[in-house]
Amino acid sequence: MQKRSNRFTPVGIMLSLCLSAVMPVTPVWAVEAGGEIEVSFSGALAEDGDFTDDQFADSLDLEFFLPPLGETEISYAFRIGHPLQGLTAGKEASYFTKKLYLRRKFDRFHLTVGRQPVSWSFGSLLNPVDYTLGAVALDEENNSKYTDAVEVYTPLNWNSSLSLVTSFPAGFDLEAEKMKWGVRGRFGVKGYDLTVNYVREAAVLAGAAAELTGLREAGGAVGDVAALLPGILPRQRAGFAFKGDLGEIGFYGAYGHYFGDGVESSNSYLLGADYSYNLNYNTKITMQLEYIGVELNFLEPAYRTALLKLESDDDRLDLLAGAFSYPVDDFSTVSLITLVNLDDGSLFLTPEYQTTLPGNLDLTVNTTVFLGGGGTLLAPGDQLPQVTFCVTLSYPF
Amino acid sequence: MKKHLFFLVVSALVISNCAALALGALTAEEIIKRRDDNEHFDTAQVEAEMIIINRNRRIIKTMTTYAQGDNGLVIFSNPRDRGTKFLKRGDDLWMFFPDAEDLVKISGHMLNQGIMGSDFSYQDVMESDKLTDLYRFELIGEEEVEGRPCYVLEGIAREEKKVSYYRRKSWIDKERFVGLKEELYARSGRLLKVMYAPKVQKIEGRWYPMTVVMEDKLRKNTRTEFIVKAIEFDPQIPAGAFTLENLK
Repeated sequence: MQKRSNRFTPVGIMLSLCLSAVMPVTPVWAVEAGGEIEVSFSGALAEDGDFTDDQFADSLDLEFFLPPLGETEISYAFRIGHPLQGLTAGKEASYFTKKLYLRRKFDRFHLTVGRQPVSWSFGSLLNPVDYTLGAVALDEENNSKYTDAVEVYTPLNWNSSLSLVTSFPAGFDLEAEKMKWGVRGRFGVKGYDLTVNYVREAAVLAGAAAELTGLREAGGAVGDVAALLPGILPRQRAGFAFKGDLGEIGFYGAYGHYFGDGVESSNSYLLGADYSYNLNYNTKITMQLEYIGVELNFLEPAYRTALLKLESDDDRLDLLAGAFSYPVDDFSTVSLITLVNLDDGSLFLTPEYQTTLPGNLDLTVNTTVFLGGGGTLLAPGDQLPQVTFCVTLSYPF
Repeated sequence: MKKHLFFLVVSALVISNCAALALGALTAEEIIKRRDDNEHFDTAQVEAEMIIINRNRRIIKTMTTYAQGDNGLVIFSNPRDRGTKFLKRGDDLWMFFPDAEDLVKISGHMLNQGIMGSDFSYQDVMESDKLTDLYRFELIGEEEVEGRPCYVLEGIAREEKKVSYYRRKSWIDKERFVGLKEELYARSGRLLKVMYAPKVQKIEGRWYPMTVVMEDKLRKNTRTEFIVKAIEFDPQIPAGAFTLENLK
């Protein structure tokens, strides 16, 4: 995952200056603000019995709802990390810009410039053809989907469009090799949502392969090796996704093809379904299950073993992801998310209870249990704990 | 229009404000037709509040809805859901998630889910046909609701139509031709929901239920109140309002 700094990028500074210039001369500004404050307490039980329970976190998400200036919209949202501990425990607070962009609506297209979310979700739990891989529905708050970018969005009809995105993973730089490009066509056809897309990653990690090899030979930690992984992934990918209904079942899928200079091309396949069962006319349990297969033949066998616990001759990862949700009452929901590695049988289970308390306070309690034999992908061990838990209180305002 | 929340309520309860000159002569079809004639609005904009109540706990959701023909757009503005949007076009329902600015097509089976945790389902919201097209109505009597004389009509779903409720029983104000109460039944005969209209107001020459209460009879001590704060008929809705482009 690209790590973004917590300071303004040049694009952000440019937008800030624009905002500063515009705001004083605008006659009426009914600016509203809203967001969410969240505190959480988490812990983990390691395989060897060690228990860590001192993980206290707090954050403040704030968004300003600014009135449009004619056909131009301004969006500004940010997250402050550890605002409470910054005040009380001397922990350093952090700042992350989630959104800071200008969007101008022209007759034939929309132009969006600045920090913005770029997400190509289509309803799956995992998305192998997203603009940013790893920005999955299982982690909706993943910061990686907020990127400094320029997007041109062209509607073709009411449910079809073409988007062109250029982003700057290594900071604002007009050198083509340091820019990331993406094109997405979205088409509504007879009740189906069809998308085709293409992404070309920036060459920000050139030389990563050599560095990775050196690190592996020197016995580097798996985490360090994983950090260099984007540098050896195929730089280009083309994807296709669809979503529609087959009778009473929601049905979706995706195909991704990954290719680039000097690496072996590979593919990914995703097929999923969602369904809801009516227990008593109003209480509906909802289920979602999907299979994803990812070919890893671009990865050296040694890395497959080190990173993904695959047998050296196994070049494919097969996963099954599932989600289940049951509304206990108007204010509470019980859910379960699971991910199973079909190749080695390891899995994790994440049961969760979410309720809205009096005072509009949300309480979420979840735990994740990792299960698997020695040497399997999701088995507890050096990289994964046996059990984690998290209690979160949040208040939207 | 019944495709969004307000019009669901309106479509179920609103009746023509034209007083019947010969009340005794009206048939069930005529009564329902008057209601249907009034409940299908070409264009409207509504500011509303939805309160989900369970014992002494409540969640308030505020929204602006736009309706035009078969199209509907709902934009939530309460803190928890601020910026969340639903777009309905034909049989398609789309949802906009404001945080990631994602647009996702909602699966068809989700249409029977309670919308945003309320006692109103997406299917309720999307039933746009006239009630006379969906049900065969019969006048079965006259009763009083909150001191007001009402026609009592029973509607049975037409075989070829897919509806949320097999049978519905409606109490319609004889003077104002507005629905004051409605019971919604399953095919098994089980009572599923009861709607009341405790506040009715005359707006632009029409009687409308400004507050509607939906009680889920399968769950105890739970109900959803739908309160119209402001309504405008035939407003100027910008071209392209009911598109994914506008939702984004």
